[in-house]
Amino acid sequence: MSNTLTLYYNPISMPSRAVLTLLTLGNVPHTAKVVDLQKQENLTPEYTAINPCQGVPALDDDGFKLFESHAILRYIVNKYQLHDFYPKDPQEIAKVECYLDWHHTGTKLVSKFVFDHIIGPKMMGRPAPPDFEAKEKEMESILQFIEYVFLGQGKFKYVQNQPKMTIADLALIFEIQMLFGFNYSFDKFPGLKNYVQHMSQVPQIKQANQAFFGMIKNAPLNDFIKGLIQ
Amino acid sequence: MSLKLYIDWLSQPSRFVAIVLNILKVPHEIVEIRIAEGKQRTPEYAKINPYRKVPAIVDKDGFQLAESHAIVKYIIKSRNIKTPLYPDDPQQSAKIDEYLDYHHTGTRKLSQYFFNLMVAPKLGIETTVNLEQAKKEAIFALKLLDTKFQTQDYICGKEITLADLSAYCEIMQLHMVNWDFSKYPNILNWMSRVTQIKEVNSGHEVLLKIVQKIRSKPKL
Repeated sequence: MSNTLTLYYNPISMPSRAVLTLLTLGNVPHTAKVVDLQKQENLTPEYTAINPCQGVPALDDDGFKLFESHAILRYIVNKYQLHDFYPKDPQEIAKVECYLDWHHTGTKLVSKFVFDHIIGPKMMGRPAPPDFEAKEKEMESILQFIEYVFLGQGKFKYVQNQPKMTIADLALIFEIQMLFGFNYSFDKFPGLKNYVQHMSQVPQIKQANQAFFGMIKNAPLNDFIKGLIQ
Repeated sequence: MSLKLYIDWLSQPSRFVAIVLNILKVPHEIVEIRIAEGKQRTPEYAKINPYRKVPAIVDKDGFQLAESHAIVKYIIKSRNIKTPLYPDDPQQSAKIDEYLDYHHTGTRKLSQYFFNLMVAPKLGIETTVNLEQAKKEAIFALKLLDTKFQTQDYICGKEITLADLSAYCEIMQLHMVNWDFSKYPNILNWMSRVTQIKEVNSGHEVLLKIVQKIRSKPKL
């Protein structure tokens, strides 16, 4: 395979980690370029020419530019025929796509909660929004929905009961792991806890998490989380 | 058993799916689930769609699916439909996916504004959304598209795709709050191109009747 892909990413960005992990899992040759969000590199005219939405990740495949992590994941699966990570049957594809669509207004509320109420105030000096309890409740109802519907009340090993890890799992896991920064007790959701445990131990996922784990390792963490970030 | 489509005509993603099925001439039966009457919260509907939202489908073999973008892509794949709305070419479909993904946190902000301004008060729902912030986000989403239409006819280039149909169902809803589109002339032009498709108009019949009543009121 020739190396035509450049992935623009940030090591803390969850959707960036999802795409990086797929590239690693699929042994896809690529060049990874860091976009420093703290220095606002994403707002420069050069980067805006690559991604008009000024977010990460973004892809440049020999001049073909793409943003939105799920679109990038699907494009990589298609181009490199990575069928280990995406089903072939139309109904199984649809189930994975249903998760990927729901994710934007479902799972993303979990990481938004962590950013707004924990990372923003503690690490970036941003004021926390006033409604902590209401947002925590909303966040937990999302976790419950994930456990009940997408993980089949804990009976599914992978999202939507797929036989192997798919891009839906890559989209989900890094978002949920943001709760490590909140020192979250996953005990309320045993199915999700199991899922987080086995997914966190996948070597390529661990590798993509190095910068994030480095960021939280000195915070007070429960034993479950400590064990997963070693 | 036929393909059943569960929708509310007042729901933007519902209209999007109905319009695409009609354009692609996919036989289906419509079952109305009226949100204003709380029909999405019944135990019967929860069995069809645990998300308790519209749209949802139950296919001929009993396969259930929610999420409008996943639904239309599934219909196209499972029926092996070849359509310029969503071509096979990986780069063209990736560009459509790029818009459809962005839509959830981009163009959908228009609904958030519309819902919180118009619908929530009528249904007695309290929301914590800051209306000024919601309006700002709606304007940002409109400006992004208006700029795109300066140089191309449709969201992904020269031809209409799923991206335009999904976006249209959101944006036309601003007529319900008497939005002043004169600041977005390129969007107005794009809307008139999209409404040349008869299925887009028939999908909006219910809404258009309500828009005509509202047009007589002062602009926002």
